Amino acid sequence: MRASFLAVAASAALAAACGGLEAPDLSTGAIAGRISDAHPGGRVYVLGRPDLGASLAADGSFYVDGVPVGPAQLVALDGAERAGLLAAEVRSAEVSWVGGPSPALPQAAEGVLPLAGFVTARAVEPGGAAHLGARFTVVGTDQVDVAAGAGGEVVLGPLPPGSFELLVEADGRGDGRAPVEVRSGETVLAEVTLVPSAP
Amino acid sequence: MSRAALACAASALLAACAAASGEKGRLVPLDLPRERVSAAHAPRRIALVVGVQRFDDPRWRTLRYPEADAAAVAAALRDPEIGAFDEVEVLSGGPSRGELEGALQALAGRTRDERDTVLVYVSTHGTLARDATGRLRRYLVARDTRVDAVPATGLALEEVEAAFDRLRSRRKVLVLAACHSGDGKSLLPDDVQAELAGIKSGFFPPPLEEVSRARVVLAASDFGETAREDEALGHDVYTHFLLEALRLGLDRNGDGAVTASEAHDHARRRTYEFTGGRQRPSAHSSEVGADAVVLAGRVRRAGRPELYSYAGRLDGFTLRVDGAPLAELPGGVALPPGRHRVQLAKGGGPELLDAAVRLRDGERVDLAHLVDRAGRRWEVAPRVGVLSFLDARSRRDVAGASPGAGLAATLRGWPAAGLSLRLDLAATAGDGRFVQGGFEAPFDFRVLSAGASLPWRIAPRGSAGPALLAGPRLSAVYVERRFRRALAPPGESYFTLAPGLLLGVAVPLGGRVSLGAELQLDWTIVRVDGEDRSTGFGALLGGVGWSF
Repeated sequence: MRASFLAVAASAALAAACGGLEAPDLSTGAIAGRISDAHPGGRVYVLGRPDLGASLAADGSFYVDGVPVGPAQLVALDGAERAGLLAAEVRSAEVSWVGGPSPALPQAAEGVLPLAGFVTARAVEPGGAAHLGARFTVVGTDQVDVAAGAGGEVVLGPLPPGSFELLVEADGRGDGRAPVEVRSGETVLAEVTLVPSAP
Repeated sequence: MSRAALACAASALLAACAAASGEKGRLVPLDLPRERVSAAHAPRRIALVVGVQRFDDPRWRTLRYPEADAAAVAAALRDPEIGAFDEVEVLSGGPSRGELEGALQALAGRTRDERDTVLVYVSTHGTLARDATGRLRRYLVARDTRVDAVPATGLALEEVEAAFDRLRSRRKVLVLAACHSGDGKSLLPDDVQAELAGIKSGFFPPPLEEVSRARVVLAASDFGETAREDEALGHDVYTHFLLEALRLGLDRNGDGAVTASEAHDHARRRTYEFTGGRQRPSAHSSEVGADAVVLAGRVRRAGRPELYSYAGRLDGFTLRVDGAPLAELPGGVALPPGRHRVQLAKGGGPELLDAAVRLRDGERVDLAHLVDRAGRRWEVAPRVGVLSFLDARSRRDVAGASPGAGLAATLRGWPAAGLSLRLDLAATAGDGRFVQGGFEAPFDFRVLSAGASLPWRIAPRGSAGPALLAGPRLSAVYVERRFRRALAPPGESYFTLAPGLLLGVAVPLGGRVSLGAELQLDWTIVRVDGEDRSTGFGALLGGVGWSF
């Protein structure tokens, strides 16, 4: 009897209710900014989380949300020949601003990104012979599982200048890792020796 | 010849004449004296007078005067110059309980007209006893009532009341020359005496005269007091002065008749004086309008207007008319017709009533009704206090205890006497800190509560004293929460209805101002982060009120 009364009262209260109180996700924040002289096809993404990204608007502005709270780096690609890393401190349920005419572009007093760098990657078997069917990933970037070309080589980029790790996987022949230093306006060669996987 | 018999005879005559004529539908002249027809339809005056003086159980002390009381009352009622009652039945010589019950039943059979006047007078011992359900009840002692079996052998006053209510007449007077104090005309069983010795008088069940639906109930003593017999008077004291009022024709308003209230007011005042204030007869009248219960004489003209009250809540108040103190309530006064300033106050206390009243000849005004009608019905009360959700989780996540302010408007006496309609509005605002998985975010909140309640007003010391309020409340609660974060929704809010309770206290400060405090407790469901939370919302508010 008491339970049914409470049920009716609860139903009446719910029926007459409207709205709701929703707290924001405090574990993430957003990064917004603008890239000067951007071109169509430009985009940004979070280094280490290339799935968290956004295309640049026509004026070069961008907005990326759902970024975990804490220090973060954005990989910014201007859609042409330039790329850079933008540092940001992501705050809980807040928007952190980077880029634009003044703030946060590390080496862009003029507000433009540095020239992008490229990596020519090649896989080598323990005996020294080139491996033709490998797939290459620059860890943390959008260069993921890129298959080698006919000569066993592949050009990865554009990439922002900086230190990265190159990961190579060759089905049945093992894998390999090697650090790679991407330099602005240059294409560097990276040769990775495959390590056979344990049987 | 009874009215029924007369009616039958008239019908028979009509039928016989119609048959003799052989025609249907003709009017037949009937030679029936007009005075006989009028007499047959005139209201009658019937009395049952009971005096129980001796008792089978020797533990009931023999009383001295109930039979003399009964005889004197009966004589006064029968006397054509005084009561002029048509039928007066006297049960003396010690009627048993069964005889008393039978007499009451027979009385019901004899009263057939609402205009009949019925008087029941009982002079005997009274006592208290617990019935089969354990409830302490009041009993009248019959000849065969046993001290150790009162519920089974005594006459419960509630039964008398019920029998009285069944009477068709609207003009009824029950006079109880008995008491239940355990002294004087009363004896309590040992176990009841022992029980009552350890408790306060508030334990006593409400006196019959406070709950009876009978028109007028007159009691020789107030509840818990002793009704006394007096050797010099040769009667029960109250009965003596009641008879005195009838015999002397103490017609206060000059209309030619002595009414029940006029006789009682005289007997009450004289009994109080005679006993040095130790015995205060009481009366209760549920009658509205003219007092039609005439005990002696006949209404010959419109009497002077009267003001009266027998309401317990006005006991002890002084009635002043045009600045002059005229009576202590309960009681009544007759006044010249016209406009009067009527004031009621107790001691040096504030005026409960101060009103101008226009009175006409023949008018009787109950002061209690005047107080109710003239009472300031609306009160507006600004309030300050604290508002809060009642559970820690909602206090932390939605709205914590915070100061607030509000306003209440109360309509007293609506929808019924003793009830009030109270509309209130209260709001609060504050801030809090929301914690989610190790992250914190500050937020601001606002809560608005608008409610309607129907509290009972319980005033232990009468309408002029402090009062307690308690009743159901339905409120609308609006909650708004705003995070100080760029990614938070701009203003999330929730609206719901909440049933609850109102508890409060009101203390008159004098004049139109009172001090009050209320606790509002509402139960509600709040949707927080996709989850329906059952919770309570409370407000403790206080402030002054202004009546108009």
